[in-house]
Amino acid sequence: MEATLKYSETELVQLLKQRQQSAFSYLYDNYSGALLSVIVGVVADTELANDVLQEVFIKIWRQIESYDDTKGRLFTWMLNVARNASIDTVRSKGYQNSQQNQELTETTYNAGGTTHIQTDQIGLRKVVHQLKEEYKVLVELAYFQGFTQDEISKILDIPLGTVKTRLRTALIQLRTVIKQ
Amino acid sequence: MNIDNYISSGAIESYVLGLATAQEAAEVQQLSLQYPEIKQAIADFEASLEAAAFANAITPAASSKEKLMFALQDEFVAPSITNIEPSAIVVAMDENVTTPEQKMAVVRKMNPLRFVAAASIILLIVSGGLNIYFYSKYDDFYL
Repeated sequence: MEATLKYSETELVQLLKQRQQSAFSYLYDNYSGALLSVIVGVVADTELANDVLQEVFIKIWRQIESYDDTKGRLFTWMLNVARNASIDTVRSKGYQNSQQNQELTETTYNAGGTTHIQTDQIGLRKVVHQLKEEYKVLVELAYFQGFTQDEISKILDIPLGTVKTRLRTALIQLRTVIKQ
Repeated sequence: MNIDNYISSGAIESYVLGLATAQEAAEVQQLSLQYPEIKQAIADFEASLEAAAFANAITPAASSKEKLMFALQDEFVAPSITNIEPSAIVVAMDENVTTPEQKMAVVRKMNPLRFVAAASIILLIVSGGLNIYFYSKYDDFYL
């Protein structure tokens, strides 16, 4: 019987706000795979990405009250929770250190990287990969690494206005590619 | 303003992807309330993003769900409580009660949890009383 259960987005959000276990279970069953693909786009290590997924679902559960359906779809909100958590992880000191160790291991033994997914082949990354180089770099820094446009302007040493226009053009192309 | 130009400016994608500044986001939200075309363009991009993420879904680790359900077990509303008739129904019925028989029926319908709560309070008072009683006996004995 449970397998045939299907909630509308509004029903699901309502039940989550009522703290219903069944709603959370449904949310996980339906969205975990899609959200994990978003996380893996930023955090390449699958084991770590799975840890971030845990954190993301706990955040979604505890912060569901702050989701406002007049501002967008549930998935868009969850996607942004997932992206922010992933970027926080990648920027954390622990991750930076582990990456350095990983690089050492890889160069010394050439054995690492088995749990690393070729992120170019995944989700939005795959789409971004099809963009022109000058656009790709901007989306990479802004979307996958979470830099502000101001920061990007300094990193790439190009004027802020150029960053803005190029990023917007990149996003328009992204929209076209995503629809295909 | 030219809506088509705005829709093809990249502002909507920037907003949906969470890349817009607070000011830019507020602008998109404001315009989406004014122009149905903009609202639609937002919905379209959100839908295609969602579809892309689903098309690329990755199966999480097998233990992942179990770990989450365990971590959050104390935060779920226990089904046994939600299944009990809410006490509000009793209150609502009270207003329509006229005869003593009906009143009895209402009392019998009382939520079992309330009985437990009432019993706990009585026990607490009795136990408090006993404490005082025994304490005074104890005092008498040693003084």
